[in-house]
Amino acid sequence: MVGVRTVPGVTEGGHRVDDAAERAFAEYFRARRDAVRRTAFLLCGDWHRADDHAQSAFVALHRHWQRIRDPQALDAWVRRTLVRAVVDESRRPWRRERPVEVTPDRADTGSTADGVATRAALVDALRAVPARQRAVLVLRYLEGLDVAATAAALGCSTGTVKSQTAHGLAALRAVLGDTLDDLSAAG
Amino acid sequence: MENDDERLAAAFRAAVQDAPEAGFDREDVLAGSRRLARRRRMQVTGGIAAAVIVLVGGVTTGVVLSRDGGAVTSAAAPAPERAGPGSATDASAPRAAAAPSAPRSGAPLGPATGDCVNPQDPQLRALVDAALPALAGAQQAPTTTICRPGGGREVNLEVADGALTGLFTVVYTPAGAPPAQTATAVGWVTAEAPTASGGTVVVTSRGAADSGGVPLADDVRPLAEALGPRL
Repeated sequence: MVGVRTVPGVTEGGHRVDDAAERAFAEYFRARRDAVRRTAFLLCGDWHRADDHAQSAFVALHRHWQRIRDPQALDAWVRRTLVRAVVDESRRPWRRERPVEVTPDRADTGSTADGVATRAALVDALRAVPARQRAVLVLRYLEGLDVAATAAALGCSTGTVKSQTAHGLAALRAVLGDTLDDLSAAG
Repeated sequence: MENDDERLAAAFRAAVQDAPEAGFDREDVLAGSRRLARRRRMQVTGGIAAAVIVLVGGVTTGVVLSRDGGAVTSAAAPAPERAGPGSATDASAPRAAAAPSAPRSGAPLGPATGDCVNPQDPQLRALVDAALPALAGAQQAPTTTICRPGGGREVNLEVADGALTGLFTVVYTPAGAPPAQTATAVGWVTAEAPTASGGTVVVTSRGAADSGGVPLADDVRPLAEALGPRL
């Protein structure tokens, strides 16, 4: 049996979350679960997959809970993990997404009177936007991040965020046409 | 323009207002976390077993090939003088040399030869990769070669663990030499273990400046523990 000495004063390598940390995690989970699910939903367009991604992000967070040095960085950490997982999944061959010119008929999106149909139109249209551009749009317009925070979440430059935002909105307009303005007005 | 942004934001928020009930709760998350921890431990254990099998297999193959050449030699002792050009052992020489310093079955790797410590020691890297498969594809970190005699071994890797990134180092110091300096900085994770050859192995993971934490922190201690008997 080899004895192992963990150097005092540094975080222990073993994965153990004490009671106080568990309580803090439980609080964070309770406060943030639904927000993370909503972000995941707009990133992937499906509530079941959104739950899978959100759950995986929280599992990863729990495993790293003791070692995330800055509590203010928790949201950013979860966001980054989530976006990376969804974008990676979109690249896998069996689930590779292909942007389309026209989304499937789902409802008459010409009328903003039907709120459900209108919201569904936006979700459908987002699925037609390339994954990275979609992530930029979701972080900026759902999460309300500014350009710098979006760049940090995606690990890219602010210039890239600006150009991806422009391209993403153009892609959204290409699918929705004037409906995007209706959506915005009805939002 | 700002007004447009606000209206778009409102549309995005409206699109998720009819969220169904969540399909998971905190218990599911905790169960998933425990499952991953178990799997990671098993990977480390299995990796060590695989390393032993590979080393034993390599030694056995070396001995058998040497027998084919007409004389039994240890795989750890290549015989270049026997394998001269045109000799009957030409064919076997490169194959025997493929494992020039594979340790004997069960024997620890021990000190390296040479005048300077190699900061990317291939034999230590093989043991590390086998013990922790998550590191198998990790890139070598840039290092500065400082000539330190004494037969030490090092591996310095750039690693990513989910969103966490950083530097992962394994430093073996032979018996009699002062052990590698251990981390004291907050946020570094370090574990130290004595090795079978009487030396010390120190495994350290440190987060990059923009990383939210320390990558592979859970693996530091099990890896040190796993490498101790092999070094």
